[in-house]
Amino acid sequence: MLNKLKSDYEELEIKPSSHLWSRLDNMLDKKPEKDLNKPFEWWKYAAVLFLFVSIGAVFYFNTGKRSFNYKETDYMVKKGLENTVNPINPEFQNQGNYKELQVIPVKSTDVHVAVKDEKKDTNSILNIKKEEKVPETGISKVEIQPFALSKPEKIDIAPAKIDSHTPVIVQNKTTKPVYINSNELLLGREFDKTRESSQKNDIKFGIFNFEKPKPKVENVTVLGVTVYVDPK
Amino acid sequence: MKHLEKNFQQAKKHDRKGQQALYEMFSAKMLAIANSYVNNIHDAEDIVMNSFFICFSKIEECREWKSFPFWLRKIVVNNSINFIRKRKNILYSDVEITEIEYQVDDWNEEGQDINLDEIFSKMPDGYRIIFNLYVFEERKHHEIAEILNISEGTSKSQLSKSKKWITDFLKQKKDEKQYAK
Repeated sequence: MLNKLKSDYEELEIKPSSHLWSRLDNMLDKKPEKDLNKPFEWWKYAAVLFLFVSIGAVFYFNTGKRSFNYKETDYMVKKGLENTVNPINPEFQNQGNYKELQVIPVKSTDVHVAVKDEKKDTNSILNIKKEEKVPETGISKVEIQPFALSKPEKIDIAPAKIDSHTPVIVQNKTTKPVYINSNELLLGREFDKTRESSQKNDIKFGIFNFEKPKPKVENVTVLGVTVYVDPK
Repeated sequence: MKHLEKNFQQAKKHDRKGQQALYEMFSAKMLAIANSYVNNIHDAEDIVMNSFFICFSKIEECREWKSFPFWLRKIVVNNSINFIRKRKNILYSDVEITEIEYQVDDWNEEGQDINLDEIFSKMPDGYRIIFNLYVFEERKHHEIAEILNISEGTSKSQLSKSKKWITDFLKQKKDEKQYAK
């Protein structure tokens, strides 16, 4: 009986009404339009959003750059001028000469300050009497101190001289190797940094540096002398 | 069968003629199946229409033309069950398994004319769905339980009850015929 039921069920057919296909046809016609519209809408919204974001980004970066450029350009010009006055490369090539020229004036100023401080601290009671003698003592100390202070740098090299008793170091002494000081290394590194940063600023993508061709420089100080630029 | 393959390939290219040919080939059968579940020709037509729409929209999922009739039938049955779920609240009461050990004595009796339409029209919805799924769709009890979100025991008990209902119905018909003579 179960098999009979099955076979009867499989043979069972009911003819659908005539308008059913037309309804289905209409449904199928509507479907592709929806499919076409949906992605189009998405693209539209995405394009508008992208446009707003890009415009916003361009404005944001340009306004930020413009406000910062005044200081940045002034600083860069100063640096450039200092570099032209005191170039980096000769410093490394002629170390001996540079030391004598460079160190002594800096140390002399330090000594002046040190001497003045000592006077202020120690000679509180005898200030009036010693004020007359200040130029004499000041000059004498200025002459002595630079050597005294320059000595510690020579002390760095001194151990090499002491070891020169041994024959191996004597050979080294003949070659006279050129050492780079830590200060020089640090200085060189600083210059490298500035170079890198300046390069980076030039290459930055999406930023229009409008002020680069015309740097607005109001005044430039070179060796304590300020040069004012006439804006016209 | 060659026509089926040709029409299937055309329908896959969203050709309207191929789709119509497939519709004409299977709509009558599918309508009968849907009607056996929902017991309403108008609802069954809606189900068939939606099923064909789904079928033609997702025809890429059906790779082989040979499996198309089974695939379509599965869609129709699923849509019919979903329709019943939404429209009619059928409550299956869980019955203990000891209760379902009912055997229809004269189930294997043959030689009687069966009017399936009449049986489906008068059979309770709960019985009909499980009977159809088990007997005609050859689903297992655990599958039916999953589809209808009921326990396996309920499915078994409902099936045995539906079988009993059919035998009683056929007996009654037989008696009526004999009485008429």
